[in-house]
Amino acid sequence: MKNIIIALLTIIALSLIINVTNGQVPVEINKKEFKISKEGFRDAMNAIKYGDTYYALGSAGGYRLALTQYLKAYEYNQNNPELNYKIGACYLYSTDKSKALGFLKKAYNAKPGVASDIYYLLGWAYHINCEFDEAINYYRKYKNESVESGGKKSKKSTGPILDVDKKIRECETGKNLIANPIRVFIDNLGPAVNSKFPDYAPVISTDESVLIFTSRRDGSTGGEIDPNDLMPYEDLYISYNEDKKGWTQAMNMKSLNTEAHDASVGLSPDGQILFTYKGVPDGTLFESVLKGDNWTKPREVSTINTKYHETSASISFDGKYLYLVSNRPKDDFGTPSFGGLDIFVSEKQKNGKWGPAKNVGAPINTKYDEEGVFIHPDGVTIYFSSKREGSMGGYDIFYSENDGAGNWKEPINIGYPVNTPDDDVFFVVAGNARYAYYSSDREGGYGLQDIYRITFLGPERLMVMGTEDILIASSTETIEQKVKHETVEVKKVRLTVMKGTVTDALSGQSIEATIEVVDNEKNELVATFTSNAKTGKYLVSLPSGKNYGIAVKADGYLFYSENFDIPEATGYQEVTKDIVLSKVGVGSKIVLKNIFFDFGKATLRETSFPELERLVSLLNAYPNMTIEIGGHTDNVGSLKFNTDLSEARAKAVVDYLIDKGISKTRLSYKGYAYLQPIATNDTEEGRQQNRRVEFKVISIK
Amino acid sequence: MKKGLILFITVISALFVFGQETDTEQIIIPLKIGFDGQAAIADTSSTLVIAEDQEANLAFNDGVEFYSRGDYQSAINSFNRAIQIDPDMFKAYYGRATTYMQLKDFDSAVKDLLKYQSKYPENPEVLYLLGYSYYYLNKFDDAKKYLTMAHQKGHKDVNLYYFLGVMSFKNANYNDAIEYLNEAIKIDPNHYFSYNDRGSTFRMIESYDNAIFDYNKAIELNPKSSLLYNNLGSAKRLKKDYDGALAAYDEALKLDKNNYMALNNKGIVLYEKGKYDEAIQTFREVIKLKKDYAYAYNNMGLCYYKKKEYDSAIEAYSTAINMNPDYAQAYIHRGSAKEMKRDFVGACADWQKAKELGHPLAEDYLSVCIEYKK
Repeated sequence: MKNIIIALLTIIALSLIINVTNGQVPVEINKKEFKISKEGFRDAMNAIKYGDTYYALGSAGGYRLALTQYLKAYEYNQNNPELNYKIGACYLYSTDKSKALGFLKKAYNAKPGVASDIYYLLGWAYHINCEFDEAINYYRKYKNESVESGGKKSKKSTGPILDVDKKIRECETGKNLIANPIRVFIDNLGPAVNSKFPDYAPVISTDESVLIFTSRRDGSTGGEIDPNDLMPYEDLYISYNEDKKGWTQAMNMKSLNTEAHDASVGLSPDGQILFTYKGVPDGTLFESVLKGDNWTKPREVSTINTKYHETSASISFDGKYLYLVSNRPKDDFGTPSFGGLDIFVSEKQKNGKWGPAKNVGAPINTKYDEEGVFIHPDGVTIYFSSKREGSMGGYDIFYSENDGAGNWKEPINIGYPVNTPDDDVFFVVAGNARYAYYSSDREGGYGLQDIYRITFLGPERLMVMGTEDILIASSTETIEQKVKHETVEVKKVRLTVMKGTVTDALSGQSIEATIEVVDNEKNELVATFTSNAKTGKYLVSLPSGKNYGIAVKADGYLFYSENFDIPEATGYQEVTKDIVLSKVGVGSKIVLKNIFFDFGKATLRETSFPELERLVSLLNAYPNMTIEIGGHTDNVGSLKFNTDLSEARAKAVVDYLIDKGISKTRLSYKGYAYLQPIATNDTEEGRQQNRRVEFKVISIK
Repeated sequence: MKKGLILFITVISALFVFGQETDTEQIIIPLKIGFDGQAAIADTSSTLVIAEDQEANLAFNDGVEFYSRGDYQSAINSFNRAIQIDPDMFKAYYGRATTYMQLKDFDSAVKDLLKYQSKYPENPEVLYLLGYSYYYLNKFDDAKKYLTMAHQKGHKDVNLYYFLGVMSFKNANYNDAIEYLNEAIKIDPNHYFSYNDRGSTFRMIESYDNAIFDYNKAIELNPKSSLLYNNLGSAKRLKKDYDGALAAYDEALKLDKNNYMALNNKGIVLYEKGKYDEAIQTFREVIKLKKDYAYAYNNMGLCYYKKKEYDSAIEAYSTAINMNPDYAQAYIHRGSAKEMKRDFVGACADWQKAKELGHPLAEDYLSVCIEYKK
């Protein structure tokens, strides 16, 4: 038997199921009362019988199945209060919650005492429909009634009173959020991506060129239908938008999908490491890597999974940290969890395995559920969903920033209309933070959950009426009403995304190269990335505030060196850099972009050491290679001065290499002054490129 | 020669268009000039040959006479003649200066006043008149200098304090302005200019209740001024008393149906009340009164924006921009309307223009424009 619990809905409905099974109120449809005519009565009663069986399951899937039966019976008799109540309850406890209200109102109007929890369900239905005042009204009625009934409470009510108070607070939050909506466009990704079946849990590469999501559409691997809700099993789908002209037709990721549920959870910013979720045996995370054009077989993230549920994961920009969601009772350091689902973080060990998971703590985690974690490639912003205080109902999406010392700021509700009174979960954000993706079941979609792209337009634009008055009576001079330009704090992404391809200089073929990102100031490896063997593509995320040295290496090739000095205040930018690698051979050369001298001098700065170390390793790897270090300058100053300077600089590099044990006989140096420019000397940018140190292979045995 | 006959002329300016037509020429504060102790009348009954200085005195007396009758050109001619005969007759310079002032030729007035002052450097009256003239020449530093000197020399005049108050206002020294205007009102409790301007000063420091009190007081003193009602309306509008503001603007318009500023302000109140259609209609009427009024088009655009009619909004903003190519805020608005139409390239171009025009928020808006540069 296939897994009974729907993978996605498990997560969302986990706590609900508990509530529901505890609190489900037995409501009988009286046969006599229900009968309005002979014709169709039997079929209707049959439908109710089946419906009741499903209803008793108390799961979201059960309610969906019960609903189809009850709706059949509804065609026979639309006025029976108990049936209306049950239909309303089914909607509330599964999907399409907003449809519950009409049925519950009808049930209540026909028979105020239809069920002991009618006030609660009415409150919830109004809540879902954003009619907060009405919702509060019914929640309060429910609460008062529960209190009044005193000892009989257990018989009458669903859920603890505490829950109602929380719901009332959610309504108050909802009123505030709706009064101050955030400015967004929410656009359906269109029929190439979405289907009439649920499509959800999108994950993206940070440049929005790759989208992977979960769908329950026809054509599911194995071709079977989940008996629980009569829909195909979850499969992973992929779509591309390389040229930003539109998403390609989504394709089933056949090599990853199984006959059971396979759901998308997280994707690395470069789109090459995918985390997936399977409900069996107990909520487990898997990892798959893109090699060429093949995804490796999903491998259980062994050190991360426990016998508890692990439901969500997100990898940091540098691949060093994995954030995950789990309902384990304590973390690997013995710290007890805050309650329900919490967010944890694991650091990659030297051996490549994920280390012990640590609870990220307050103020991120609460006694309520936290879910759907996403760590942004800017390295400081975390997005997640939570049912915490400050939610307007169910899961809401929150974000928080790290102060750089490991402390998270108080999470902020991302706001309406992205958040709604229903569950808002699985939300991923592009590198520029202007766009985000999530799924939603809203009007105008292709059916059930669809994937949407959110465009954040930022704070309300300042609107200033033009007005003037003659304020000085003795003059005709008009005085314009001055406007205070209150600058709204706009969250700025401080991130550079560098992307492109790595290819062979001669053949133009793609190369699977290692891209090392080094912090030149600290002489510290920040991250290692790999270009794709098939496409040569790579993507590197560089948070602002460092002088980055980038070395692209592949076996048999001279390394390629790039420098990015990105000041702290630099906002989001995307840089495309196609990298060409030359095979190691006589005459091949590289420009050493991470060698720095003091101005007008031949003194090597310490920030050059990572690059110089790379040279040392290269020379050690090819012990028979002899090379020439060439110094080049721009055309500012005399030839004599520049010749001397460029030669002295080349010599400084050679001296460093000798100092590191490279034989003098293998090294030569020359000052070329400005006689071999590689760019114009008319611009500062060009002159900058011309001031360089080159490394040339003279011979190799 | 008889001395001591004192001619005292008080002239009150007839230039009292105050508040009636808002875009007419500059309004001159009523000017009182006393020829205190300066004028002398020549004894023409004498049968003796008139001495040369008598000749000059006669010309001077003619000047005074013409002046008192309001025939300023003839007065100037007479004073000219007096000066021609006796270039050291300082009172003739004084007389001519005051005549020039009536003719609003303050440049010439200043020259004569300075000549007179070279002889009587501490005369408070002439210091005051110098300050007065510089004020109307918009030379506020000089104006302030002379008015302060006149004040120190004990010249007591409501206008002296009034001018000092206005200049403090213009320099955004609102506390000083209030003090000077308090003095002016102390001297002349009926000086509604001072009440209005003190109200405006309170408005600038967002003390709207005080502003409303002062404007009401000014209106009490001069109930026929459309301008005062408009200012009252604006203070109420800023206080978000929109119904009160509407009533005041309506009163302003009743007194002067061509007061386009009051009508424009009325449109703004309707906008603030969410009555966008009525506001649009009102701005259209403003344009009928003043067809090149960029503000009205801008404001109309904002109403369309609120109605989510972005094409109409863009059209209105564009008209405003055509009328005033330096209207940075209108570029901000047009960009924001284009943004809502997803014309991000157009939006960014407008915000860029606003930035070039020095709008302080444009830089922030442009932060999303990286991907739309091309």
